[in-house]
Amino acid sequence: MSLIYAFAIAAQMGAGVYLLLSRHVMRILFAVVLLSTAANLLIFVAGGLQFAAPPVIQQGTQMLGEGSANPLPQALILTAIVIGFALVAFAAALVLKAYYAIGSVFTDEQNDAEALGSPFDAEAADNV
Amino acid sequence: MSVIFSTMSRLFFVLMLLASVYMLFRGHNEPGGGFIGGLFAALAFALLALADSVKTARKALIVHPMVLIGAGLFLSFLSGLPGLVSHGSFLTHWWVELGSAHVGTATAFDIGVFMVVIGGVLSLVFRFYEGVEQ
Amino acid sequence: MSFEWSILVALAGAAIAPPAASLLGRGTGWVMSLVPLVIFASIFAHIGPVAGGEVMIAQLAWVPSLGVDLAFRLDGFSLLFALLISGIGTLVTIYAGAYFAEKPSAEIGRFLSLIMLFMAAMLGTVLSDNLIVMFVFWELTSLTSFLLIGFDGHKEAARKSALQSLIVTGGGGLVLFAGILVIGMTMDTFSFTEVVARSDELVASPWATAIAVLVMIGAFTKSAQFPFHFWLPNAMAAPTPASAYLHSATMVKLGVFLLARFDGVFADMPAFGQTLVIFGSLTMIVAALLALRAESFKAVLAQSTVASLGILVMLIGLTGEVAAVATVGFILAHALYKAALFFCAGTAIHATGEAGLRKLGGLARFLPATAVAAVLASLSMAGLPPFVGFISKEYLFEAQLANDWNILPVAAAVLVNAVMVGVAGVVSIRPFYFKPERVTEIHHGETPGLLLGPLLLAAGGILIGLVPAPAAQWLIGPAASALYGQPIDVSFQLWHGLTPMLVLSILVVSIGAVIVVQWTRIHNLLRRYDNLYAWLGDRFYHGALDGVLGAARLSTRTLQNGDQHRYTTLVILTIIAGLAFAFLSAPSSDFLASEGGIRLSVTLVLLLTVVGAAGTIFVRSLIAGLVSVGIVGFGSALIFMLNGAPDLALTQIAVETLIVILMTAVLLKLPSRRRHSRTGPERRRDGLIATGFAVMMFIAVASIGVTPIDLRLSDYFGETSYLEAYGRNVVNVILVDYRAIDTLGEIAVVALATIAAWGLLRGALKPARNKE
Repeated sequence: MSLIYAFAIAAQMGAGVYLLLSRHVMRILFAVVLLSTAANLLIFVAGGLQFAAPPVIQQGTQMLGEGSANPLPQALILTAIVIGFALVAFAAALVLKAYYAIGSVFTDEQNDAEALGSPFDAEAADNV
Repeated sequence: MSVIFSTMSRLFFVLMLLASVYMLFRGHNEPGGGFIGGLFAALAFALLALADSVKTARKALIVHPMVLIGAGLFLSFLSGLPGLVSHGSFLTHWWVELGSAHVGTATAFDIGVFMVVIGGVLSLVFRFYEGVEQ
Repeated sequence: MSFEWSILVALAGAAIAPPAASLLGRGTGWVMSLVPLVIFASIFAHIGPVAGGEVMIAQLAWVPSLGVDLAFRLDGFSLLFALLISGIGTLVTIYAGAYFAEKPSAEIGRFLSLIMLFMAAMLGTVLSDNLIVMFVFWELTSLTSFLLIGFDGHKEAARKSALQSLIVTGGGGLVLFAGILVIGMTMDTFSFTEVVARSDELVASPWATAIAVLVMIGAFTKSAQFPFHFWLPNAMAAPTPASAYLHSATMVKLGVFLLARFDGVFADMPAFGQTLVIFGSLTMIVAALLALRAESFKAVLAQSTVASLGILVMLIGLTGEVAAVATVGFILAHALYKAALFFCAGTAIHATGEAGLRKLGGLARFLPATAVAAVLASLSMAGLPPFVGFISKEYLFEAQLANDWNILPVAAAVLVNAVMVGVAGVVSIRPFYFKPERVTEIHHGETPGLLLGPLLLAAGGILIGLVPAPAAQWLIGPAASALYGQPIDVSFQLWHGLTPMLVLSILVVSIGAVIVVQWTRIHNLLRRYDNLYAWLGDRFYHGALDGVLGAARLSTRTLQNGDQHRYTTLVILTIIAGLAFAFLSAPSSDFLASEGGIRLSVTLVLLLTVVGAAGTIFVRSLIAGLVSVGIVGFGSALIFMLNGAPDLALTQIAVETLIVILMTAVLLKLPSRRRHSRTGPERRRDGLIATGFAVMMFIAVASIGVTPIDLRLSDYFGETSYLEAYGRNVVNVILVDYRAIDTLGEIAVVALATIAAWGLLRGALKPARNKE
């Protein structure tokens, strides 16, 4: 089973990296979502998946019973999902703002700073 | 069609809001909690914003999302102070037994989380959809 | 006043100089000179006990956990330096006030503030007993020197020279710091007193050579020893009062100070002294050659300073009592005459506006007192009786002859001293008495402020020469004893009798006289070998600097070409390489052993997410891409559900829905996609990179599957969740109780990220322009 998990996570990450290498800002945004989903799954798998009962202490008992899933990675992933959402939301706002300011959704056209030229060249020109 | 959708959405809104509060408070003993409750409450308002208008949703929320963010953070912070005073340890919670249920500062902490999540998500949803409508 | 307060007094002086200047205007120099004068007096008050052999230690804990204490030490040697620093500092302050008389008062304030700051740093360096503290002050002198050399920041030469001196001396300081750290590592202490006391341990340790080399490099850069000698003449871009103070009398002697201090530590390591003799001799020869060829007044003085520093380094390398006395005597004599000569040069250059020696002449008519001071100082420099320079030179030769070195260093010393005689003659007689037709008018005459410094210092030179006993008893003796490690009875006197040293002195003066007379001819002769001289200058420095800049340019052009695609590629490739390295360094096929049986439901959902992931790559429209991303997200929610994580499943579903809602809003505002953002070859290459990344991740995740998990923490949470935190949902209890501070931080992140995004989009509703 762990090989199937590994395959699925690897496939998600591979797709994420391919999209991350794109120059279209939306595809980069998709990549961020894919990669964070895959990373959460990775943590989940790393926490061990032998047991499928929710980590909730049954009524009438005082301790978590045998056969419950590992609660620790779940707590970590829960906040990671929300933080991941905040990250994606911020990136989406950045995408919109960049589009409004520059008028392009391609990173190779969002090059106003590069269009000014290399600072080294400017310095060289000063020194001549 | 849109009238039906709009009416249904109000019904769903109320139901989801109730569900989210239920999620928040049962969270300590059953699946749920501040994050989940907050997300579902935010979804309820988002549904209202999409089905009706952002203006309606803003009105339904009464306060500005930023106020919720600030108040939530402050509440979570405050919930840690009693423990700091009594045990010298920030966010060590106090508990009171009310019948069979325990109520403590942890509940206040989770309510703070709930408010921050609602405020954070909605500030963005409203902002993103305000541009679309025009 | 205890001596260590002098540093604070100097710092206070730095703070009050600017307001004082705007208040007092032209009188600032005189008033501000009270600050160094007070320091001088407070140090002078300790002269009695220190001469009696007492070592004063003042200590204050600073960073006790690192063994760094604010420990200060006043012995004969540091007392001599502290007196020179504060004494010449007093004269420099007065001189600077007069020198900048017609400048705006803000300029005077800034200059004096820097001088005071420098003085604090210098006092700190020579008084520190803790090596770390000393290093901090050491680098502070480099920084203040940088600011003073670049004082006329509008001139490009000043900026470049300032940078050069900072790179050389500051960089050398870092090397010294490395040496100090190695000392701390070997000896387990940074206290200098203790290092000296346990010097045999240091010399015996395997790090001894490394420490010696690192300390020497630090000292050589500061004291402008070959091959770092080039920065000092360039530093003459500083205003002349600063040159007189920093680059003749004080800062450049710090390297000598350090070497002299460590000479005692490395006493049992003969190679240390021998290296110093070799580098000192090389430096003085190179500097003498450069001095003969230099054009401007200040450059000639600067090169002769480098030569003097070479002599001092050589003297430290020699062993014995006489060498210690010679070192101290030469430090004192040199400080007196060189500072005086710089003052005279400053007055001459300032009054005429000419810096080249060949354009100056007959200045004695206009600046009679300055001319007298210059002649007196240069006679001391030439080493003629009855000046203190003569005595110190006698000691120099005696120290050389007392050491069983071969004839080469002695010959070098004779030649270099002859050049010094030549330089002394050239800088005093020629501009002031020769060729009166060259200068016919000057901008201003002498003022008391311009005269006090040079006259006092020149008079000091002759006074100590005539009556050497007090200086020998109170200053030179204690300092030499501190250097030598045991009391020395110094018989510092003018007349030594008919000795070999006297013969050498006569030889020096004769050759020197020839140089004075034949200066122009020698000068023109040397000018013909410009190509040869280029190798003695800062050619290597510029080569190294250009090389570094070139490498920076190249790496920037290749790595940061302005294309996001390139950056991401590099980051991903680095991660792949890191993972591959980790795997290949311990290859194993354990990860292929799959754990657990296959669950059909989970397998199907996982395959669904794989399809969704593939879909994000292959679909053309962005809306369809968003749907594919959603499939992966909801699929992972199902995985959570099927593995006992209902909390995660609910969260994931809610977040995925919200992401779709937000992304839809963004997509509605963006133009629809019209073209590929990558070329065909780029896409194929990226596909390869993504596949490589996926393969490495597969191996990594599969390896995790076969690694045993430590469940102690999880078990603890499961056992105590209800009993101590009254919650049955362990996940929620972890979030709001056990790790509540983390959660507080995380909601703060959510709050800040959304506030930032919210702020980004305020009022931005329409594209400002369109590139498509």
